[in-house]
Amino acid sequence: MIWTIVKREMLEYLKSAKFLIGLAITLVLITFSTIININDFKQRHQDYLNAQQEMKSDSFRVQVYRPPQVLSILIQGYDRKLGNRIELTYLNIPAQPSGYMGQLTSQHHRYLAGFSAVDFAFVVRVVLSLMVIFLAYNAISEEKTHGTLKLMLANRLPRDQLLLGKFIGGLFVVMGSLVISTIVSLLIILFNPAISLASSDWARILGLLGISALYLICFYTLSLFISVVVSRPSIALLVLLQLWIFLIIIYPNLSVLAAENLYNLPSEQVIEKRKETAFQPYNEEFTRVTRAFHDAVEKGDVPNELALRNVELWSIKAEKNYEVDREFGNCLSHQMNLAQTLSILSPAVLYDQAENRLARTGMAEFERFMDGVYRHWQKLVEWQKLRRIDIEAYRKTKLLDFAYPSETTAYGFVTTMPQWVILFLFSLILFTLAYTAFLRKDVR
Amino acid sequence: MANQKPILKAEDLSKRYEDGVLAVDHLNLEVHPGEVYCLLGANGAGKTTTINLFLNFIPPTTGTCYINNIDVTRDPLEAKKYVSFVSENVMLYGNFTARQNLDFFAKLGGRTELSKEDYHQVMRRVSLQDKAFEQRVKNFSKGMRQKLGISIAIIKNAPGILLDEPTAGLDPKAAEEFLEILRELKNEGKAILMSTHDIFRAKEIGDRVGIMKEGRLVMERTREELQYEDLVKIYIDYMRSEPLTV
Repeated sequence: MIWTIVKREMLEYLKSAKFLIGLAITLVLITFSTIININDFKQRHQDYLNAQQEMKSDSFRVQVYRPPQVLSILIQGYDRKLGNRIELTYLNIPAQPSGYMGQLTSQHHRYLAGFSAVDFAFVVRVVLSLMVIFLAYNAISEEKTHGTLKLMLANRLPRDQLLLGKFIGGLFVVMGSLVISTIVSLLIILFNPAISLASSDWARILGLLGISALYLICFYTLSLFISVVVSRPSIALLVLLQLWIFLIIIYPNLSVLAAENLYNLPSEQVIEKRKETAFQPYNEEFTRVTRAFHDAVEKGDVPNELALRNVELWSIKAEKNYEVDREFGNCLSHQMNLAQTLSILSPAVLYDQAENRLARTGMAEFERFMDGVYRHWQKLVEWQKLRRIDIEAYRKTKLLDFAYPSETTAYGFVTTMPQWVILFLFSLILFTLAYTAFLRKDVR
Repeated sequence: MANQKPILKAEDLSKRYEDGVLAVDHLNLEVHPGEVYCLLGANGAGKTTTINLFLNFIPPTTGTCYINNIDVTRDPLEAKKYVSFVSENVMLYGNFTARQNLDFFAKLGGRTELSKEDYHQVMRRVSLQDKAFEQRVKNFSKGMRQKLGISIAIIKNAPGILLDEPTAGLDPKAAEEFLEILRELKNEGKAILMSTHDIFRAKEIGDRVGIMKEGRLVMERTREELQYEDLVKIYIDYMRSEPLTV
């Protein structure tokens, strides 16, 4: 009996104009955004390779670059938005990369930012979730208004089987749309010889597919629930669209506003003051040593001890500044975490967090890069000190190439577990509510 | 007929809604195989509530409905095996063809063995034109939809049929065709309970006619009795009489 319902439900959806229009929009967006994002990735990757080749690092100045993530083709996250180039000296560690890597030197044409904002995540988060709502808003309410609910239940059909059948049928169609969209994206990627995906990338893509499925199920069960409790389909659609706007746009933005008010960030003056205070114990010595160093340079005879102490004090100053900047960065992270915690009831926020993490295009990957930059700067300082201590040893050694460890796939999955669990719980709760409401529903 | 066991039976059936309205008040009726029972009454008299009680869409406050001697409240799923239902204005699934609609409801009714030809036969029986079989139902007139609705009831092949104002909104020709189908079903031995506003057709088709007012069955006449009485006059007299609750 249940499969009769499932088959009918699937056929109903597949024949409906709303499904065909939704799928067409999805496929057009997916195709164009994937092609555009592949080209964008290829350009950024080429710029990265060129920049590494032409790296103008010398014994004083070192440039490091953040490579673009291949999965940014599907999930852009912050990969394009955050800077990719950092120039280090022992005098300074910038807290932020300086601009988009290659932007000034690249000969490649850049695509419009508006186009590049559309990616797989956008299609799932916005287009497919809307399609799910348009598919399911009348799942029960229209059956009631058309009299088919009574006609079905006049048979030997338990209500739970009817609801389950409708749920499974709709789910197949929704998942089918998601899988088709994913396959189209992947085929475009695979047919592009310049893009190669590692096995870990495939595992992450599976994860992206899984979390996208959970996200859509969340909206599907929500639509089913509203369709059960609201008898008029037009009202059900109105309620769902308002909920969608609230959950995807209003609520996350309200959370950001609330977090900004609840967790104040220090002002620029405060940060500057903190930097001064942090370096206060060294200030007197710093002034004395730098003056002596300049005098010695002018005379053309710089004692090694003085040069070494000069490097040490400058690096201490840079490190103290960096610590204050990092502290500010931590405050910013806390504020962001608070906003995310406050918006935990928004499936869209949970989805964004998980997909950015899985695609390695989120803040976590950026922070790993910045940690790598700091460790590289420490090596640079040691190398500079070696120059003042043992010039022969300095000449024999080279500063190692910049590298930072990427997050393992398993760890990526583990860190997104809360989002998986919460989205699953949302779906379960909404389905249970729909189920309970339907068992008690007046079907007349 | 009377010596056969009734297929549809209401025993001291009452339904009081949560807002206090007594929709059905101690109703007793029986519909035997090969019998058409017409329930007449104004809007809100309790006709549709009675049908809803038979289908277990709402629980009775007191009393019991039996379908094929099965207590509907105790074992609704088993009871529904023995009854078909045709409602007043069923839209069916507009994107599906007539045959697809029939196939779906036949399967829900437990008829999984039927072929395309079986569906065509049933649709021909209710005078649906062949060209309509594979047409989408959203293009159907109300009369065609009602014909398809009755073919859904026929294909289930249940001994009892519940009809909730099935001729409402039909033109005279379509209504007459509909009654002809009911006559055939009656002759096949189906027990038919039909709620209607249509006094003339109730007299024409009904083996027994009951008039409901404020939930009570205030009058019941057999076809034979009605040969000597004017049903219209009886009906109007009951409708004009003082409210029962005063």
